[in-house]
Amino acid sequence: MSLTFSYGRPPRQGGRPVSSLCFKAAALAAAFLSLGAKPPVREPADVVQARYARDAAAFEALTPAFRKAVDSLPARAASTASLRTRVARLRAAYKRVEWLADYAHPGSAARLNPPPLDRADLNAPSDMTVLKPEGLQILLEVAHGENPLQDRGELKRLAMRLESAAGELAAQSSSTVLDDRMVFEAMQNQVLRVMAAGITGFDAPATELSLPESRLSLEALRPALALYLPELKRRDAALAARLTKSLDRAVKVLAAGKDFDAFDRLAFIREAGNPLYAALADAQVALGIATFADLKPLRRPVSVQARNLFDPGFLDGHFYAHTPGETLNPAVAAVGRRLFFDPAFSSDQKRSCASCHDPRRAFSDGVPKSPAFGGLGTLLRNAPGISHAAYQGAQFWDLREQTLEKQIGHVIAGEGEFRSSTLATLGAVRKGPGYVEAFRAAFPGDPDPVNMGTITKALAMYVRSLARWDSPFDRYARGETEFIDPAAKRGFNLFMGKAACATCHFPPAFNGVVPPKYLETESEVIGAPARFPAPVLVLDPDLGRGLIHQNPIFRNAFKTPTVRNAELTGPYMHNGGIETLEAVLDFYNAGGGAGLGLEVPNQTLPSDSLGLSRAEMNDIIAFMKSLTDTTGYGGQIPAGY
Amino acid sequence: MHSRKSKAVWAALAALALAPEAFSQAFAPFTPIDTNFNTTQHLVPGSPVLSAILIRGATDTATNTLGVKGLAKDVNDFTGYVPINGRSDSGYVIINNEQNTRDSVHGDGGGMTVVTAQFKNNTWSVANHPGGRVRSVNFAPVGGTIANCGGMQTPWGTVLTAEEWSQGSNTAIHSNGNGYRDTADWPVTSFNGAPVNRSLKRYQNLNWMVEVNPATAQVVKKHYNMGRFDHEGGTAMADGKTVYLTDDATPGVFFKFVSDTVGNYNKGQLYAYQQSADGNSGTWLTLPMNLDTMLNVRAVAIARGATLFTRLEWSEHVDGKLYIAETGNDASGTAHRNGVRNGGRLAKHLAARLNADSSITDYYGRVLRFDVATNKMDVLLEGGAGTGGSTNHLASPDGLTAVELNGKKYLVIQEDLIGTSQGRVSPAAAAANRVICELYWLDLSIATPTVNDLKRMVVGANGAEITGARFTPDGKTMFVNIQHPSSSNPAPYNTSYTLAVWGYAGQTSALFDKPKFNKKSGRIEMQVNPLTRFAYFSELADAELFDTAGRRLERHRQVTQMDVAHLNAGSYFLRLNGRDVHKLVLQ
Repeated sequence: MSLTFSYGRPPRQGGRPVSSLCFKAAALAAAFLSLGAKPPVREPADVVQARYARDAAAFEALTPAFRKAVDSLPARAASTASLRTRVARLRAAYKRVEWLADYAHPGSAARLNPPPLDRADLNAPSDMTVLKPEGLQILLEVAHGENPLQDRGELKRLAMRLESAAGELAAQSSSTVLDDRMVFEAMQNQVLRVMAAGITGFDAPATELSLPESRLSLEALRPALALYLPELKRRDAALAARLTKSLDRAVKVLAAGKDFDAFDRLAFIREAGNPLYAALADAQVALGIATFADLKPLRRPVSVQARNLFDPGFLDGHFYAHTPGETLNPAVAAVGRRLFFDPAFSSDQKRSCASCHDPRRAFSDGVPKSPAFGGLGTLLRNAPGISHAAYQGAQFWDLREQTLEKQIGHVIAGEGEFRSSTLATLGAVRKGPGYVEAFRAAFPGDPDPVNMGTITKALAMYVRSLARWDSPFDRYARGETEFIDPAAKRGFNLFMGKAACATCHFPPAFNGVVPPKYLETESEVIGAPARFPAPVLVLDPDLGRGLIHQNPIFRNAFKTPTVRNAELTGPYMHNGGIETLEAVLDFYNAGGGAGLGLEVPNQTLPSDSLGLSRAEMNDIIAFMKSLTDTTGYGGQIPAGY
Repeated sequence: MHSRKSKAVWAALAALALAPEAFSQAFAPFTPIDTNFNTTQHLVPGSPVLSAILIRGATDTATNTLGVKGLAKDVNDFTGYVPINGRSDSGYVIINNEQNTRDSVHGDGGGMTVVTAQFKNNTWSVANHPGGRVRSVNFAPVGGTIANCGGMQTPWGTVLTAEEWSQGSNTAIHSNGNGYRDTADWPVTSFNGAPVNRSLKRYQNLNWMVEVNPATAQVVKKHYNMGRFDHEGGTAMADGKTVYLTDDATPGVFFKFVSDTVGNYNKGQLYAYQQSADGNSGTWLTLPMNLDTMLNVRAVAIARGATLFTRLEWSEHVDGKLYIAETGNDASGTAHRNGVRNGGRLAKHLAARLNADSSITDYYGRVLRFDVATNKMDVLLEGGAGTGGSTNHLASPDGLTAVELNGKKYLVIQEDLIGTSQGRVSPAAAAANRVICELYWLDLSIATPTVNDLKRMVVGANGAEITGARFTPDGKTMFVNIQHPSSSNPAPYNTSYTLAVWGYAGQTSALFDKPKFNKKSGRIEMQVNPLTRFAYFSELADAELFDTAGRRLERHRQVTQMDVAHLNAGSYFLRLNGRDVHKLVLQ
């Protein structure tokens, strides 16, 4: 049995000769051929796949036993401990295959380890079916509940579902074909998962498991990596050493982390997680393995070039516009900027995008709800800051549109906004001074450059040009400076840990786009009151996403916005009902609306108190303020505006 | 010149790594694939197959019944073709607009657009009509529509349009003024041929079947006697009395309406399908014909023992068989269990898929076959990821139509994917979460077809569902809708559009058949069909795809064909079984 590599040649810039290994493999294969036999090629990726199949089978093998145990365990206190051990063992077995399951078989991974919340079928907007949670997270939650064996109907259901999902994964893993590219992408995916979700307790409702499980999931990369290390050493010994060392370090830091609340997440990300991520990406290139960028035109939101979770280009904003790989076109953005500030498109010619999205307030307007068209009342919801609006897969508080391009149409037609139409907008642009020329220059080759497609594109491109990723926090996290406000550092660790903020506001955008793939954009039910604080609290009557999607789980659900530039975008929440960041922290510390005693069906935020002290809350605010970056926003306002 | 000696092949392979340009010359001849592989636009076969965009939603203008112009409605779904004077080169192309948003010109909610189309100067274009080249149908006389989805043509030239997405409240349809703004109650004055005096909440007046005369672009009637549910569409039979109706819900029910008189649906009887226990026959359950029953007809049908399905989509009648697309559902939760508790019966093929907790996992869906004479319902084709040397995949079949060409009958199946996992798209597309829907032809003479028998003809633009395929009477033109492509695709591929495709009629074998290989060459041969964009191999092989820099992009085990449609233009190398190298040029 031979182990061969098919990396192809090393990158051109290295100028080195092709791998001698390749020639060896060639000679070997030739020898087989001369004997008339087909060479039993076994590449590293095949070995990884075989191990994956074996580990998935081992995980599956635990599930029938678990189901039987759930049936037979007597309802005693001692059995509860046994149940919890069994759940932890199941989870540990899954953590060994998680990196490949999550990457190669996301459908099964989504059944095995989804958030412990009710779900709806998003493909059927009128379908009122509520899907009960299943998988290892809800299992953990149930097992850690009080007296879990008292009424074991739910446990039995979960055990049955787990068995079927594990069987599905075992079948898939045994028939899949992996490639070196996939192995490396899966490893990087797992490192991201640990940094952005694993250490925050995102997938472990019993948080004391999250650090040991993160460690397990990284240790699972070791055997796979070992298959590639000899060749990497030959090509770039220093890189091989860096890779080994960074994995060792990440595992060691996680192993040393005994206390969930006290774990220094910023140090872990900065000194272990990001270096490991970078080393894996570098190794992939050094080994001449294709990257996702070579698979044009298929793209993903996570940039292939990025080497750090907080790199400015880590996420591709164009991906969320469904034009992945497009680059920021300054000429198009410049036309968009003109449109953004031009009041010619509202039917009274008095309002522009900037009326509610003022660059001086990080593109928000400082009032709870913006005044409506003609000064008659207000709009329905708070005007959010839009500096990072490009980095999400859904627009509006109620997630009613997917792209910025589509979002714009609603503002044009909105009774309270521009009260205009697409035809009128087209007419206004065609008549506007210099627009036709500007569009012609920005969209060369388009025979009819002024159309709704180009207008919305220009505006969206302008919004995409607004994101900044160079805040004091970013610079520290990337290792460009050693200076950071100690309060911000403490605040980040709280945000990502004890305060559980990052289980909904995910880095790097600190919005609702879920790592490690950054494909899904989440909404949450937090039970925001009409006003807070207030003498009498009432739940805000706005149904939010519940108006768009009739499934009851979306009642009072709103998109999770970014906390970048939050310092400037108050008042907060979908209704502007909370004036200061201090009060926002008070609200969350109390457990959201339900924690404050409001009746909030389906609240997705746990209603128990976070137990944060005032000083801790101030630290979190200091962290949020360390994310402020409005470089160049002052210059956005056109002269005479 | 390539040598058959393995050593030389390996030397050449090393040369590939060192100097791809020189290598490529050594492996001539090859056939460049003359086509555009950019999936931000749709893909259809290249010449001699031709295509043209007939109309774009939200971009072209349409005229309403008052003569006022506005941008045509978007989200093109169903397509009908009503010939003018029986012609296949001149007719009304009727397009459903599956919308629920406000529109001050054509009316809020759903809509229908009638395009006068002609085939002239070897292309399809929009022709003049006194009422406007492109006309919108005014649904105000019947209290509006919402989400006009699938539909069907009646034997007398009208169209039944199906309102999908069950609405639950006036607040939801109003959607803060962005949706259906008139929420006043709607009076119903007649039901099933008899006068009634009823008033419906406006949202209850949505989700019915509505008949339209496309020649005049006038609405004929809202058929309350066909029930209110998630109307996807169905089939109006040639007898002029029978209409089969499909319910796009989990669980969904299969309905049949039979009119008392031939030639109109004003009065008749609605039935729900109940499959026999052995699955070899079935009966039609009679439903009470009153408006209250109709408002909640799925529940009534289930309580009477109707058979439960998972999201029934389009249907099509060919030679006594009704073919019905069933989308499937990743996780049905308690929906089926509750349906059974309420009196429904699981369809036989679904009962076989039950999980231990009574939910059903059904990633791919299928095409069902219903025998009109015996009421037997079984599965024609299961969706799935291709096996046994194929990289074909079919999931969530939605649109269905049929055509007869050169003596062969084909079922044309269109995808509306509900997910990208489980091999529903290629692995690379899945990793990018790219929803790429496809349109396939299936030769109906194949007795027990599998996914591997599907022949791809159209790949949707990025983000789009493919739906609404409809043929001219001579079968030589197919109209098809590329629905909701990404708004950021380059124009004109950024709004829904209706595409005309022709030029394939004499070409079906060139289009679809696997190439013939010269068996004696001693190496595994490869040929690419430039029309379907599949690379075919002369025998089962491990296939590796390299770019010109020598990086391996993909790897497939034991396949006889490989999909190359997702690749950008450029040069690639395919290595088969680790030795036989072929160059692949995509232009």
